Amino acid sequence: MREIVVDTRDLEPPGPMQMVLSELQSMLPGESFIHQIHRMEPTMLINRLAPMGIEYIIKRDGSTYHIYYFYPEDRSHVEERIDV
Amino acid sequence: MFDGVSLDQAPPFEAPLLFFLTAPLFAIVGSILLEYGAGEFAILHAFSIGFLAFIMVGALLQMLPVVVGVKFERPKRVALLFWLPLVGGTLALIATLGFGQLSLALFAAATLLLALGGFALVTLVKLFKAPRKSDAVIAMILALLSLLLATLLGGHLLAALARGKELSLLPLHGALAGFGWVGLLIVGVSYQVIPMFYITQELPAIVRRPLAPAIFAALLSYALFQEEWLFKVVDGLFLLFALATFWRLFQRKRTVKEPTVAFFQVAMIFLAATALYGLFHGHDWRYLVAFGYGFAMSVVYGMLYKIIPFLVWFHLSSRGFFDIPTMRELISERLAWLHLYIHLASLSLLLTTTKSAAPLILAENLLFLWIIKAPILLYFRYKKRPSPFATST
Repeated sequence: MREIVVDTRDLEPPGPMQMVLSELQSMLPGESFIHQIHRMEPTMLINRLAPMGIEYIIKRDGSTYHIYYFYPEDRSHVEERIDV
Repeated sequence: MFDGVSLDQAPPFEAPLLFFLTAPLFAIVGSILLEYGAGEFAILHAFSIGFLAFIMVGALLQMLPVVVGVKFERPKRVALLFWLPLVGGTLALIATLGFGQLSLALFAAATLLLALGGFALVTLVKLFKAPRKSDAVIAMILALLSLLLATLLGGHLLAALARGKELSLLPLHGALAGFGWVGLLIVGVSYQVIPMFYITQELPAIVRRPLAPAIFAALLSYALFQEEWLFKVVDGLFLLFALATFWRLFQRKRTVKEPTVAFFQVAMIFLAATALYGLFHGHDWRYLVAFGYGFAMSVVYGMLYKIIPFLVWFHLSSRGFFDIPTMRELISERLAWLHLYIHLASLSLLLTTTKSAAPLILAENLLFLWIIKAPILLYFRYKKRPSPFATST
């Protein structure tokens, strides 16, 4: 699966949300997932995506958050890729 | 493929906006009361409920659905249901405390219990059911518990006032309302908005995690034992929050000077000064003014200059409008700097000659309304247009 990396650590709102929403246009089931690198949990974005059926996993590394967005059917592939 | 934005969690912008626009009007009422020398408790409540509680209820109505995932059914109706008794109750309270209209005391107590007590209770029930409780959510829960207790005590005090009885629980009411409700809510909201809007690191977990529970525990201990040193523990904890937050804002990567960051920095300087004043001097009226006007109101102005344009972008973009001005273009920085200078001048006068601050408080709130007019008008202008999502499908 293709990993679409979006580093939003140094962007102020609404930049991070705009970038992830924009990359969602090219995220395809079975083909790709998004990996956002951010300075905090993007709760507004997560709550905005949840009703759309997009799932996510958050991994924290020190002060950096890694958020993976994917279609529900791709969960096992993504978990394997990111070693959950 | 992902096919557009739908089923948004966010409540309509009108719900928080109703509260955000009422708050400066009550601050203007407060400035008029100050000018004409109405009772000090009437003036205090024009700002504490009229300004701060309106902003905070509005902010929670907005934040809880999108940040915590806690939803209010029919948000516009819910907003109006709390707004109406809150307006009536605040006006009745001002009439009771400022003009001796004791016949209105019980009406004020009932309406404020309905509005603030009801809001706290409903929101607490929803928050306890939230699937994940971040440090920000825990601080919000403790703030709402403080609001509930402060409102019950306030109702009791008004009933005692109407019957001419002693107001022995006044310090507890003040402590829970000011430092529990206002203070803890700002702590919780800051955890969320400062890293988000100002590109800072979060506060270290060793500070962030225990801070709100420790403040709440110290306040409750003070309420139970009424020992003055317990309130100094509260001062010490707020000093820690002020210094840690100021340090994070100082360390921020983006060095562009913005009025909204300056409002937050002023707020943290005043919080630290308030806490030191409390620790080494005492808890008099200057302490309350520095905490309420210097800290809490500075945070509110700084926060709204970010949140209002962000919400306008958020709501319009979720309807498919992407040709709108940027957040920065929606707020006049020049006027926001002017607002900060007037705010500092009115604060200096409040702390020294007090009454002479009234015209400046009036001016800064009229200016605030003028500054936020642009994003609000833009929202309503776009709202009338059909969504590009609707026309493209």
